[in-house]
Amino acid sequence: MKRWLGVAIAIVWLAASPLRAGTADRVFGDGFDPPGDLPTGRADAARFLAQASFGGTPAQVDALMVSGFNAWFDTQFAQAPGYVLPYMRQAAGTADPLQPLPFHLYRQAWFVRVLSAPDDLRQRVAFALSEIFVVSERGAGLGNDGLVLGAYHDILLRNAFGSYRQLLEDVTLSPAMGRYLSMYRNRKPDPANNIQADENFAREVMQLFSIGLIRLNPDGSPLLVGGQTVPTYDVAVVRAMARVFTGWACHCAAGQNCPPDPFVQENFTCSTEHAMVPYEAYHDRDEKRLFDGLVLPAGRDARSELEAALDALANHPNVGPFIARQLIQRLVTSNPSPAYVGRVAAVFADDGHGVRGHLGAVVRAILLDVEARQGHRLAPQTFGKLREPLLRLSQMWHAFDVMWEADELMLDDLDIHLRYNQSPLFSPSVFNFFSPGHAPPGPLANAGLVAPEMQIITANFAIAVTNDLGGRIFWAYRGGPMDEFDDRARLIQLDRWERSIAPPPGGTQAPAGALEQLVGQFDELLLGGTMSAPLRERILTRLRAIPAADTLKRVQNAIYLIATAPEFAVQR
Amino acid sequence: MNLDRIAPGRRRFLQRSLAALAGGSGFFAAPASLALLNHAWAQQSDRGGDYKALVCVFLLGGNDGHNLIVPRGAAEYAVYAHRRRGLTIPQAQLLPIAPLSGAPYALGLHPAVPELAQLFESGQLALIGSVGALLEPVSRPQYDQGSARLPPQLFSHNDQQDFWQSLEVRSPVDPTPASGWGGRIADLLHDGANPQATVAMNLSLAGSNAFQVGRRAQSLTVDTGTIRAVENDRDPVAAAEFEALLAQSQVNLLADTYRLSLKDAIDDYRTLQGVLAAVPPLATAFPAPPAVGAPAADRFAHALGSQLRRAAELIAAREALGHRRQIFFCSLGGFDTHDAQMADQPELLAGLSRALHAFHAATLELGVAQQVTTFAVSEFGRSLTSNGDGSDHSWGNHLFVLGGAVQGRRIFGQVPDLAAGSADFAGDGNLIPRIAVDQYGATLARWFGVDPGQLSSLFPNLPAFDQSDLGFMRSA
Repeated sequence: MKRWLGVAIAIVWLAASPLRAGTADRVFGDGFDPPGDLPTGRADAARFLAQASFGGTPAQVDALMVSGFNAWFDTQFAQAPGYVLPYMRQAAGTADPLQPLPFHLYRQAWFVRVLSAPDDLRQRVAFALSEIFVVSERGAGLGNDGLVLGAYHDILLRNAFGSYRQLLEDVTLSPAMGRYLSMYRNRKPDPANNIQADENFAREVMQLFSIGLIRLNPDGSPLLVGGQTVPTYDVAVVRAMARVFTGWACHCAAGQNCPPDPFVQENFTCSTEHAMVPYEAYHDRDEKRLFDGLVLPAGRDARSELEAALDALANHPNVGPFIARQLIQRLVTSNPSPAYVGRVAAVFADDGHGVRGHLGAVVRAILLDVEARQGHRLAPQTFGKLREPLLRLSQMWHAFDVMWEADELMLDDLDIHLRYNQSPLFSPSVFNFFSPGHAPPGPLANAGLVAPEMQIITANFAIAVTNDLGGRIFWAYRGGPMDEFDDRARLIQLDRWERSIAPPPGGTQAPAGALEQLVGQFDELLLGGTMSAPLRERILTRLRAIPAADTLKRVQNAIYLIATAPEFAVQR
Repeated sequence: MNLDRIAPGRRRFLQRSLAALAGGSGFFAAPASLALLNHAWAQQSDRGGDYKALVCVFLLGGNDGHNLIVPRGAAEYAVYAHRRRGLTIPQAQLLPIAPLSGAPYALGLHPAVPELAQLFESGQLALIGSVGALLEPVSRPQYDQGSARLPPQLFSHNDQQDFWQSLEVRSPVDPTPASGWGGRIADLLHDGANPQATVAMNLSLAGSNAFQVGRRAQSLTVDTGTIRAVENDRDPVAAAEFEALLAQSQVNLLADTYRLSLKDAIDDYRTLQGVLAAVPPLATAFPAPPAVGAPAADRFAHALGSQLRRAAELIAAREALGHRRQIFFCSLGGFDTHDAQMADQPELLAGLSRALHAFHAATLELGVAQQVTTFAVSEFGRSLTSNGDGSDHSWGNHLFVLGGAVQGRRIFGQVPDLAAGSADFAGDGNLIPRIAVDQYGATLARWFGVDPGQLSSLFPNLPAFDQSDLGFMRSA
């Protein structure tokens, strides 16, 4: 039954828009199968895994071919989260939950989890959430604090398939966010001393984490009244909200030497893993007028008021389309149709069992939507997204069965942001590495389209990523120079591909059709079967110019010319 | 370079002085060096020829201007201290300045910016008071009654960063792509001023930005480190094949955008490699990379200084680049001091001050101090009131302009009355800008060579204001 859900959605989508009539003919009348539960081939499976994980390995592609999409989701949802803090503590050789941990252990844990944990979907969604609910090591008060940031990452992992409302609360009360947006130790106004409540978190929780600046239609398009957008809130609401989020500071664990009143003296000796706790003396108990006429009456304690405010945010009609659109952008395509956003927002509103904000259902709806599954065929000119720089690397690594001996990171990976302009929990500001609305000047902007990731792929980084990928393909493979040199190197494994094109004993040429087959398989794994004819021809010409006995160089050239090509820079 | 024509012995002395100027302590130990430098600058004032550069330094997060320019006289300081409470800078620590005009009362600068104070006193730097995002002049009653037409989302970081750079109010259904005023200036001037240009005149040392997006003109992000083209030392033929593939246009618009951008990047970086390799090293010392455990100020000084150093190198390379007009974009982040402001802002300002000081010394060394104007930008000012440990998003702000062509040691715009109930502040406590970003930008653009008749096409809100030239630049 589930396999027909996508079809039903497709029909609703197509029927809803007369403009789509031509599309319907193409979908159903021109040899395209409606989205089914089984991938149509290895290319389709790999394409799905590029959207749903950090990249499919050949074995994962094969497994998905057999299991089908929905069983894959069920397995992923049931998979135990690969939390980073336990890993970090083990790597640091400590069992003490209060022991500070350096940030490099978080980076190491991230690389290890992302490249080897079985909960691929959860890791991928948590990464996407980390780009919406942004905290960063570069923020004040978080420098080199691996403990607080690892704990934050685990919050995202824990809630990735759970309730949006719970995620919002866990993020709000996390010491990482508390410090990053200074809600930590935010106190009630003190008019006698001309002190107001801190507006930082109040503003961003609305603008970035929940409802956004302007009212949205259910399909994510801006609501227009007389041609004008309508603000969701004003300055007075920000100030009221700032007073809601007063009175929170650290939790003092047993055995800790905490200051009796962290609002007076605070030195971050409290637990950074535990959610913040209320200190009522510093909470504002006056009435607060929020958006849409909502009033929080006077006299409420910190927690019940915070719960009420978060309920109001989570129930605001903007949240579904606002979060749906951004998750679609992170996973599938930069320019989703309003109908696609609307379908996912509808699942956010009700997962089919009357549950609002069920993120697992939202993620499934995003990835199984007809636009996700067929967009590259329906709209080849505009569908897809620039791969985030880190995802270009992770997908190349997965496709070639990355392995390593020591978990520690080489300097190149520790400082990966210097070449990729990106590293987990390392955004330059709460506005993420790139903005969801970034439109690079030129044909895209002229067409009214956005390409958020392009904001960090500036000239220097476009070159740096290209060179870095080349370096990894030509130096960091099993049996190669980096393998000899450094057991921390992440190595791709090329033997099986080399064997497939090795001349038979006594022969001087690759087996007939072997090169074509090699490139075809790489097309499936890396490009989801979308390789253009000119790219294929060019690669084959290049491979034929390399002596057949040099199988390594042939394989490396094939990977290099795909991984650095504009076609691989875009996930379609 | 530009010191070539000075007699060798004198040149070495001058270089040592410049190094001392940029280095910090040596300069303050020997203030006479400044007179020497001004003299050298006067001698070299015609060396730049018809060349001009604008350097935008974006203080990301919203710098607290209320603590950049501070009342120093007893009465006004008492008001300041009463209003700011925990954000008050001790009176004795303020760096006194003696403006030639524009100061309603005695003023001092933040103690962390001694270099900027020196540049002000020596006539190289002007302060701009109460500048901010405006569509039209706004009075307190208009704002308080809600009848003022205002830029959208006044207190939101990204919206105000966009507005400061674009000056556009865009409807979500507007099909015209956004542009920034640096880009629009290039649209107008690039072809005429830089007919031999080998790369774009809009050069960013701080990545993508809205300021340099032109309707036609391109911009280029230049790395602050080693300039590299695409290379593959293990298989150069593969790299050549990769490049050949970039000639193949892509059906998918995103892929084609990436293709064109990478292709341009490789061409431009090859050009830059050659051009920058031919630039003699600058004698001016820029802030060094921070040592482990060094104060945050060292980190900020280096973060901005490395951008400004590369800008100085690109200025030195202007002839080889075919540039008679250049616009640079730099940024320094961290000014969103909701928290721990009294600990963090001094480090930021100290880094800013040192980096700018080195850059100004470099323009002197290159003989282009009169041709290069550096201007500060920040998305908004901050609340006068404290939130206990910091300040929140607000509106009007105080900024500065630096360079040999600036009418220095003066204050333009308005230094506000900080008293409670002052008409300079709105009822909700936000400082009402008296100068629009459009006026600030138009004054710079006019100096840069934009025809007065063209200003309103670059600065869409300018017609709403009486003054299109605030007078802080000497006439060209």
